[in-house]
Amino acid sequence: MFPQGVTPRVTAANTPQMESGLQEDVVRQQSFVDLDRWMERYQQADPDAPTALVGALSPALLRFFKSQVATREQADDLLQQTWLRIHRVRHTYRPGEPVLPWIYAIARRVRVDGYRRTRRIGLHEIAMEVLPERPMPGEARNAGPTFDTLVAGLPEGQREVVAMLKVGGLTLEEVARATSSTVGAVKQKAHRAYERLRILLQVQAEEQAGGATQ
Amino acid sequence: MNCKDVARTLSEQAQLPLQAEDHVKSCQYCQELVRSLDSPVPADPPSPATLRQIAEGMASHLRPVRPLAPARYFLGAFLSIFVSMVAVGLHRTGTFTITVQTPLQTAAILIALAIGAGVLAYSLVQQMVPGGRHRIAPSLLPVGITMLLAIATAALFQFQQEPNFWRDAWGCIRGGTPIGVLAAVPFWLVLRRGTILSPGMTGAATGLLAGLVGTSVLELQCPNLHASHILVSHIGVAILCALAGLVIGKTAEMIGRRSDLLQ
Repeated sequence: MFPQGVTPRVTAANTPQMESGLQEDVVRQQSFVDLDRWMERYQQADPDAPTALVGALSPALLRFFKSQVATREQADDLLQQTWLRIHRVRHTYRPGEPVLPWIYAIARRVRVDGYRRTRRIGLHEIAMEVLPERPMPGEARNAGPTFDTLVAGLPEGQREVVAMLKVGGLTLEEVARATSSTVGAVKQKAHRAYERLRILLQVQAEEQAGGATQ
Repeated sequence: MNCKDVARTLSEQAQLPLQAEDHVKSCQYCQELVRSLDSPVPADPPSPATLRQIAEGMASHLRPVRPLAPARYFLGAFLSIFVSMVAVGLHRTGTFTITVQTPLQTAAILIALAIGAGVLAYSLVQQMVPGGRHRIAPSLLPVGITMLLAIATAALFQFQQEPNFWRDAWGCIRGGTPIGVLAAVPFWLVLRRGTILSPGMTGAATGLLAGLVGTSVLELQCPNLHASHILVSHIGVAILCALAGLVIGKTAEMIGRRSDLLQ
């Protein structure tokens, strides 16, 4: 799918066959360089560059949008808008700078704009409430909460940070850059998010234990 | 090590240290948290047709672009504009204050203004590029700089009763604000080369930087050394310009979103 030389970082980072942290680091480093190189070629109007970048980054971007409580349709729409905006502002990428914070900063802005647009449209529409499917007894306990359902209980800022760290595979420094924030603030948000998630899991487990004894 | 420590460690390091792992092994909830966060995300890739459509759309309008100049050029441009505009302002109004202020007061207030302008210029350069590195959160910066100047003023100058407080204050605001507005134009011309993702935040920072030009001119020109006068009418100019920048940025953001909606 990707032109030769592209190692999609996110795909590589999520591959279960990774044997050691060192190997993972080498792959990450390698794919960083590849993305940087493709971004430079994109600025030089290399016709292969858009395919390489879109192929390498879209799966993680789509996951990022989906984890921000967007439906699949909305996530697809946001993905297209992100690439459109990236295309418009591609001159603002400085060769040698990390690509991922640049991409995610744009994606984050597109998501915020998309959310506001959806909310405005929603004000003029009559909402048809769809009731969530009720899990079969014991089913949820065995399966465990998925990442999306787990982070859905977090406030927006914390959810965004956790999604970038865990779905996008960004480092703390990269998340800080993407969110126009500082590393300290990102660490604090992540810490609060994990604390909250642990409490949510505890409450869920207690509720399920209570339900099972009744 | 307890659950809170595990959450802290998770937020700071990708790999848990041995101590944390020992706790995770014995704690059901931490175990579940770590497992949920580390669990592979189910594959739900975008359709190849969509990706092809996006890539083809991008490739069809592909023209070479010149990347932005290095950050130091923009920083130099912002600082040069700042100094030039202050010089132009002082050329018109003169520097009466230096003769009535103590050297300590002059040096301290100019250093505070220089730090404020330098930090704001650096932040604006980073805000011009998505994913720029920020030492201080740009959303807090305008408030922080305004407070720094207010504290410096309160520490360096005395609070005294003034008979014509509002008349004098209005005179300085009327003189300093146009200088700030004038300075905002070249700042905007530099900024528009980049991409502004948060127009409100960047507008406030640009407004404050432009307002600081007005404040600097007033600090060197106005012979009134009362702390309350400086706070209200000199720093007030910077605050007014920052608020104007915020409003302009927010309005531009709203208009942009509305035009996107219509497309």
